Amino acid sequence: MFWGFKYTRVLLGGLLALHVLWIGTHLYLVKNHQLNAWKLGGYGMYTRPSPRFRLNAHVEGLEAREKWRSNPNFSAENWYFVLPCRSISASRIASFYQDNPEALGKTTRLLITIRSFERYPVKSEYVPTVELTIRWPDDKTFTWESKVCEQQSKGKGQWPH
Amino acid sequence: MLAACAQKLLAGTYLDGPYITYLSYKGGTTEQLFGFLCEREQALAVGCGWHQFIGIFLVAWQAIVGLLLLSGARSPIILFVEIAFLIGAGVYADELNFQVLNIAFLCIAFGVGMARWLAIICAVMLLVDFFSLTRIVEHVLGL
Repeated sequence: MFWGFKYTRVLLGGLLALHVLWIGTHLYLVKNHQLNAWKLGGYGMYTRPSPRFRLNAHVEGLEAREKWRSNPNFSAENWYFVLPCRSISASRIASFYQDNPEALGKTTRLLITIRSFERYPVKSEYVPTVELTIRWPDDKTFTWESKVCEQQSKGKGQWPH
Repeated sequence: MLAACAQKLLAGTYLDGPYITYLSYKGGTTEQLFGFLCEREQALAVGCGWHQFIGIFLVAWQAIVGLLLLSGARSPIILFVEIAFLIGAGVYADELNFQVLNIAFLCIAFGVGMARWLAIICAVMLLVDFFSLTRIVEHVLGL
Protein backbone atom coordinates (compact mmCIF):
# COMPACT_ATOMS: atom_id res chain seq x y z
CA MET A 1 0.00 0.00 0.00
CA PHE A 2 2.73 2.44 1.06
CA TRP A 3 4.91 1.54 -1.92
CA GLY A 4 1.95 1.93 -4.26
CA PHE A 5 1.28 5.40 -2.89
CA LYS A 6 4.94 6.38 -3.20
CA TYR A 7 5.12 4.99 -6.73
CA THR A 8 2.07 7.01 -7.76
CA ARG A 9 3.53 10.20 -6.32
CA VAL A 10 6.85 9.64 -8.10
CA LEU A 11 5.03 8.94 -11.35
CA LEU A 12 2.87 12.07 -11.04
CA GLY A 13 5.90 14.16 -10.09
CA GLY A 14 7.80 12.81 -13.08
CA LEU A 15 4.92 13.57 -15.44
CA LEU A 16 4.65 17.10 -14.03
CA ALA A 17 8.40 17.62 -14.50
CA LEU A 18 8.19 16.35 -18.07
CA HIS A 19 5.25 18.66 -18.74
CA VAL A 20 7.13 21.68 -17.41
CA LEU A 21 10.15 20.66 -19.49
CA TRP A 22 8.00 20.45 -22.58
CA ILE A 23 6.47 23.88 -21.91
CA GLY A 24 9.98 25.37 -21.82
CA THR A 25 10.92 23.54 -25.02
CA HIS A 26 7.71 24.68 -26.68
CA LEU A 27 8.37 28.32 -25.80
CA TYR A 28 11.92 27.98 -27.13
CA LEU A 29 10.72 26.45 -30.42
CA VAL A 30 8.05 29.14 -30.88
CA LYS A 31 10.55 31.93 -30.29
CA ASN A 32 13.53 30.57 -32.22
CA HIS A 33 12.08 28.22 -34.85
CA GLN A 34 8.69 29.81 -35.49
CA LEU A 35 6.83 26.73 -34.28
CA ASN A 36 3.09 27.27 -34.59
CA ALA A 37 2.17 28.36 -31.07
CA TRP A 38 -1.20 26.58 -31.31
CA LYS A 39 0.31 23.16 -31.99
CA LEU A 40 2.18 20.43 -30.10
CA GLY A 41 0.44 21.17 -26.84
CA GLY A 42 -0.69 24.57 -27.97
CA TYR A 43 0.89 26.52 -25.19
CA GLY A 44 0.28 29.72 -27.14
CA MET A 45 -3.38 29.02 -27.94
CA TYR A 46 -5.71 31.98 -27.51
CA THR A 47 -2.82 34.39 -27.09
CA ARG A 48 -2.63 35.27 -30.78
CA PRO A 49 -4.54 34.31 -33.95
CA SER A 50 -3.83 30.79 -35.17
CA PRO A 51 -0.81 31.01 -37.57
CA ARG A 52 -2.46 29.31 -40.55
CA PHE A 53 -0.69 29.03 -43.88
CA ARG A 54 -1.72 29.94 -47.42
CA LEU A 55 -0.35 28.49 -50.62
CA ASN A 56 0.17 30.86 -53.55
CA ALA A 57 1.37 29.26 -56.77
CA HIS A 58 2.41 30.51 -60.19
CA VAL A 59 2.81 27.80 -62.80
CA GLU A 60 4.25 28.66 -66.19
CA GLY A 61 1.66 28.19 -68.91
CA LEU A 62 -1.16 28.00 -66.39
CA GLU A 63 -1.13 31.63 -65.27
CA ALA A 64 -4.91 31.97 -65.51
CA ARG A 65 -5.45 29.51 -62.73
CA GLU A 66 -5.57 31.21 -59.36
CA LYS A 67 -6.35 28.39 -56.96
CA TRP A 68 -4.05 25.44 -56.48
CA ARG A 69 -4.76 22.46 -54.33
CA SER A 70 -2.77 22.13 -51.14
CA ASN A 71 -4.62 19.09 -49.86
CA PRO A 72 -4.24 16.32 -48.99
CA ASN A 73 -0.62 15.55 -49.90
CA PHE A 74 1.02 18.98 -49.84
CA SER A 75 -0.38 19.98 -46.45
CA ALA A 76 0.37 16.65 -44.81
CA GLU A 77 3.86 16.29 -46.29
CA ASN A 78 4.70 19.83 -45.15
CA TRP A 79 3.23 19.23 -41.68
CA TYR A 80 0.75 22.07 -42.32
CA PHE A 81 3.75 24.40 -41.91
CA VAL A 82 3.56 23.97 -38.17
CA LEU A 83 7.37 24.23 -38.28
CA PRO A 84 7.71 26.63 -41.22
CA CYS A 85 11.50 26.96 -41.07
CA ARG A 86 12.04 23.23 -41.64
CA SER A 87 14.40 22.68 -44.59
CA ILE A 88 12.87 21.80 -47.94
CA SER A 89 13.07 18.24 -49.25
CA ALA A 90 12.23 16.62 -52.57
CA SER A 91 9.24 14.80 -51.08
CA ARG A 92 7.80 18.08 -49.77
CA ILE A 93 7.98 19.57 -53.24
CA ALA A 94 6.76 16.42 -54.99
CA SER A 95 3.61 16.50 -52.87
CA PHE A 96 2.52 19.70 -54.68
CA TYR A 97 2.61 17.83 -57.98
CA GLN A 98 0.76 14.88 -56.49
CA ASP A 99 -2.08 17.27 -55.66
CA ASN A 100 -1.74 19.20 -58.94
CA PRO A 101 -0.53 16.78 -61.65
CA GLU A 102 -1.36 19.32 -64.39
CA ALA A 103 1.62 21.39 -63.16
CA LEU A 104 4.09 18.55 -63.76
CA GLY A 105 7.06 19.54 -65.90
CA LYS A 106 6.26 23.25 -65.70
CA THR A 107 8.36 25.88 -63.96
CA THR A 108 6.59 26.57 -60.71
CA ARG A 109 6.89 29.29 -58.12
CA LEU A 110 5.40 28.62 -54.72
CA LEU A 111 4.96 31.18 -52.01
CA ILE A 112 3.84 30.09 -48.56
CA THR A 113 2.54 32.85 -46.35
CA ILE A 114 1.81 32.38 -42.67
CA ARG A 115 -0.50 34.49 -40.54
CA SER A 116 1.39 36.66 -38.12
CA PHE A 117 0.25 38.88 -35.27
CA GLU A 118 1.57 42.32 -34.44
CA ARG A 119 0.49 44.93 -31.98
CA TYR A 120 0.39 48.68 -32.17
CA PRO A 121 -0.88 48.88 -34.72
CA VAL A 122 -2.80 45.70 -33.91
CA LYS A 123 -2.90 43.62 -37.07
CA SER A 124 -2.73 40.12 -38.43
CA GLU A 125 -1.18 39.59 -41.86
CA TYR A 126 -0.06 36.71 -44.02
CA VAL A 127 3.73 37.06 -44.16
CA PRO A 128 5.88 35.39 -46.87
CA THR A 129 7.84 32.64 -45.13
CA VAL A 130 8.73 30.05 -47.77
CA GLU A 131 9.58 30.87 -51.38
CA LEU A 132 10.30 28.15 -53.89
CA THR A 133 11.22 28.11 -57.56
CA ILE A 134 10.99 24.67 -59.15
CA ARG A 135 12.33 23.84 -62.59
CA TRP A 136 12.16 20.66 -64.66
CA PRO A 137 15.32 19.96 -66.69
CA ASP A 138 13.60 16.78 -67.94
CA ASP A 139 10.43 14.78 -67.31
CA LYS A 140 11.86 12.82 -64.41
CA THR A 141 13.94 15.43 -62.61
CA PHE A 142 13.20 18.68 -60.84
CA THR A 143 15.50 21.17 -59.22
CA TRP A 144 14.59 23.84 -56.70
CA GLU A 145 15.84 27.03 -55.21
CA SER A 146 14.32 27.93 -51.90
CA LYS A 147 14.28 30.73 -49.40
CA VAL A 148 12.95 29.48 -46.09
CA CYS A 149 12.89 31.91 -43.17
CA GLU A 150 15.57 33.98 -44.96
CA GLN A 151 17.81 30.92 -45.47
CA GLN A 152 18.56 30.09 -49.10
CA SER A 153 19.20 26.58 -50.41
CA LYS A 154 19.11 24.46 -53.57
CA GLY A 155 18.23 20.85 -54.25
CA LYS A 156 17.26 18.20 -56.74
CA GLY A 157 14.62 15.49 -56.79
CA GLN A 158 13.22 12.67 -58.91
CA TRP A 159 9.70 12.20 -60.21
CA PRO A 160 7.81 10.10 -59.36
CA HIS A 161 9.16 10.55 -55.89
CA MET B 1 -6.11 27.36 -14.68
CA LEU B 2 -2.61 28.24 -13.54
CA ALA B 3 -1.16 26.94 -16.80
CA ALA B 4 -3.67 29.02 -18.79
CA CYS B 5 -2.70 32.05 -16.69
CA ALA B 6 1.03 31.39 -17.18
CA GLN B 7 0.77 31.06 -20.96
CA LYS B 8 -1.09 34.38 -21.19
CA LEU B 9 1.55 36.06 -19.05
CA LEU B 10 4.37 34.59 -21.14
CA ALA B 11 2.75 35.47 -24.46
CA GLY B 12 2.39 39.05 -23.27
CA THR B 13 -0.69 39.80 -25.37
CA TYR B 14 -3.19 40.06 -22.50
CA LEU B 15 -1.68 42.43 -19.95
CA ASP B 16 -1.73 45.33 -22.38
CA GLY B 17 -4.80 44.03 -24.22
CA PRO B 18 -3.85 43.78 -27.94
CA TYR B 19 -5.29 40.30 -28.41
CA ILE B 20 -8.67 41.38 -27.00
CA THR B 21 -8.49 44.45 -29.24
CA TYR B 22 -7.73 42.23 -32.23
CA LEU B 23 -10.65 39.92 -31.48
CA SER B 24 -12.95 42.89 -30.81
CA TYR B 25 -12.55 44.27 -34.33
CA LYS B 26 -11.23 41.42 -36.47
CA GLY B 27 -12.43 38.30 -34.69
CA GLY B 28 -15.57 36.27 -35.24
CA THR B 29 -19.05 37.66 -34.66
CA THR B 30 -19.27 36.69 -30.98
CA GLU B 31 -15.67 37.75 -30.33
CA GLN B 32 -16.54 41.30 -31.35
CA LEU B 33 -18.61 41.58 -28.18
CA PHE B 34 -16.30 44.17 -26.61
CA GLY B 35 -15.76 46.21 -29.76
CA PHE B 36 -18.15 48.93 -28.59
CA LEU B 37 -15.91 49.82 -25.65
CA CYS B 38 -13.43 51.82 -27.73
CA GLU B 39 -13.19 53.61 -31.03
CA ARG B 40 -12.00 51.06 -33.59
CA GLU B 41 -9.20 52.91 -35.40
CA GLN B 42 -7.75 54.38 -32.25
CA ALA B 43 -7.87 51.04 -30.41
CA LEU B 44 -6.11 49.23 -33.26
CA ALA B 45 -3.46 51.95 -33.48
CA VAL B 46 -2.58 52.60 -29.86
CA GLY B 47 -4.65 50.19 -27.76
CA CYS B 48 -7.75 50.43 -25.62
CA GLY B 49 -7.85 50.78 -21.84
CA TRP B 50 -11.01 48.71 -21.50
CA HIS B 51 -9.53 45.85 -23.53
CA GLN B 52 -6.43 46.01 -21.36
CA PHE B 53 -8.66 45.80 -18.29
CA ILE B 54 -10.44 42.73 -19.71
CA GLY B 55 -7.08 41.11 -20.51
CA ILE B 56 -5.76 41.71 -16.99
CA PHE B 57 -9.06 40.53 -15.49
CA LEU B 58 -8.86 37.24 -17.43
CA VAL B 59 -5.28 36.58 -16.33
CA ALA B 60 -6.06 37.50 -12.71
CA TRP B 61 -9.20 35.37 -12.75
CA GLN B 62 -7.35 32.30 -13.93
CA ALA B 63 -4.61 32.85 -11.34
CA ILE B 64 -7.09 33.28 -8.47
CA VAL B 65 -9.26 30.28 -9.40
CA GLY B 66 -6.15 28.16 -9.99
CA LEU B 67 -4.77 29.03 -6.57
CA LEU B 68 -8.14 28.46 -4.91
CA LEU B 69 -8.42 25.00 -6.48
CA LEU B 70 -4.84 24.21 -5.53
CA SER B 71 -5.46 25.25 -1.95
CA GLY B 72 -8.37 22.82 -1.74
CA ALA B 73 -11.24 25.32 -1.85
CA ARG B 74 -14.33 23.43 -2.95
CA SER B 75 -17.12 25.86 -2.19
CA PRO B 76 -20.28 25.50 -4.31
CA ILE B 77 -20.18 29.28 -4.77
CA ILE B 78 -16.74 29.07 -6.39
CA LEU B 79 -17.98 26.24 -8.58
CA PHE B 80 -21.05 28.24 -9.61
CA VAL B 81 -19.05 31.39 -10.42
CA GLU B 82 -16.45 29.42 -12.33
CA ILE B 83 -19.13 27.64 -14.37
CA ALA B 84 -20.69 31.03 -15.16
CA PHE B 85 -17.27 32.25 -16.29
CA LEU B 86 -16.74 29.18 -18.50
CA ILE B 87 -20.15 29.63 -20.12
CA GLY B 88 -19.31 33.31 -20.71
CA ALA B 89 -15.99 32.33 -22.30
CA GLY B 90 -17.77 29.71 -24.40
CA VAL B 91 -20.24 32.29 -25.69
CA TYR B 92 -17.43 34.79 -26.39
CA ALA B 93 -15.28 32.34 -28.35
CA ASP B 94 -18.20 30.35 -29.79
CA GLU B 95 -16.74 27.18 -28.28
CA LEU B 96 -19.58 25.91 -26.17
CA ASN B 97 -18.70 22.26 -26.73
CA PHE B 98 -15.20 22.83 -25.35
CA GLN B 99 -16.65 24.52 -22.27
CA VAL B 100 -18.99 21.57 -21.65
CA LEU B 101 -15.86 19.46 -21.40
CA ASN B 102 -14.27 22.01 -19.03
CA ILE B 103 -17.39 22.10 -16.85
CA ALA B 104 -17.39 18.31 -16.64
CA PHE B 105 -13.72 18.35 -15.59
CA LEU B 106 -14.47 21.04 -13.04
CA CYS B 107 -17.23 18.90 -11.52
CA ILE B 108 -14.72 16.05 -11.22
CA ALA B 109 -12.15 18.39 -9.61
CA PHE B 110 -14.77 19.55 -7.09
CA GLY B 111 -15.75 15.97 -6.37
CA VAL B 112 -19.41 16.59 -7.13
CA GLY B 113 -21.55 14.98 -9.74
CA MET B 114 -23.07 17.07 -12.47
CA ALA B 115 -26.30 18.50 -11.06
CA ARG B 116 -29.46 18.06 -13.11
CA TRP B 117 -29.77 21.77 -13.85
CA LEU B 118 -26.17 21.86 -15.01
CA ALA B 119 -26.63 18.81 -17.21
CA ILE B 120 -29.61 20.55 -18.84
CA ILE B 121 -27.53 23.70 -19.43
CA CYS B 122 -24.74 21.58 -20.92
CA ALA B 123 -27.22 19.81 -23.20
CA VAL B 124 -28.53 23.19 -24.40
CA MET B 125 -24.96 24.38 -24.95
CA LEU B 126 -24.19 21.33 -27.09
CA LEU B 127 -27.35 21.88 -29.09
CA VAL B 128 -26.49 25.55 -29.67
CA ASP B 129 -22.95 24.56 -30.62
CA PHE B 130 -24.31 22.05 -33.11
CA PHE B 131 -25.84 24.91 -35.09
CA SER B 132 -22.97 27.30 -34.11
CA LEU B 133 -23.69 30.29 -31.91
CA THR B 134 -22.20 32.60 -34.55
CA ARG B 135 -24.70 31.44 -37.17
CA ILE B 136 -27.58 31.80 -34.73
CA VAL B 137 -26.52 35.35 -33.75
CA GLU B 138 -25.97 36.33 -37.38
CA HIS B 139 -29.37 34.92 -38.31
CA VAL B 140 -31.12 36.78 -35.48
CA LEU B 141 -29.33 40.06 -36.24
CA GLY B 142 -29.73 39.60 -39.98
CA LEU B 143 -25.98 39.91 -40.60
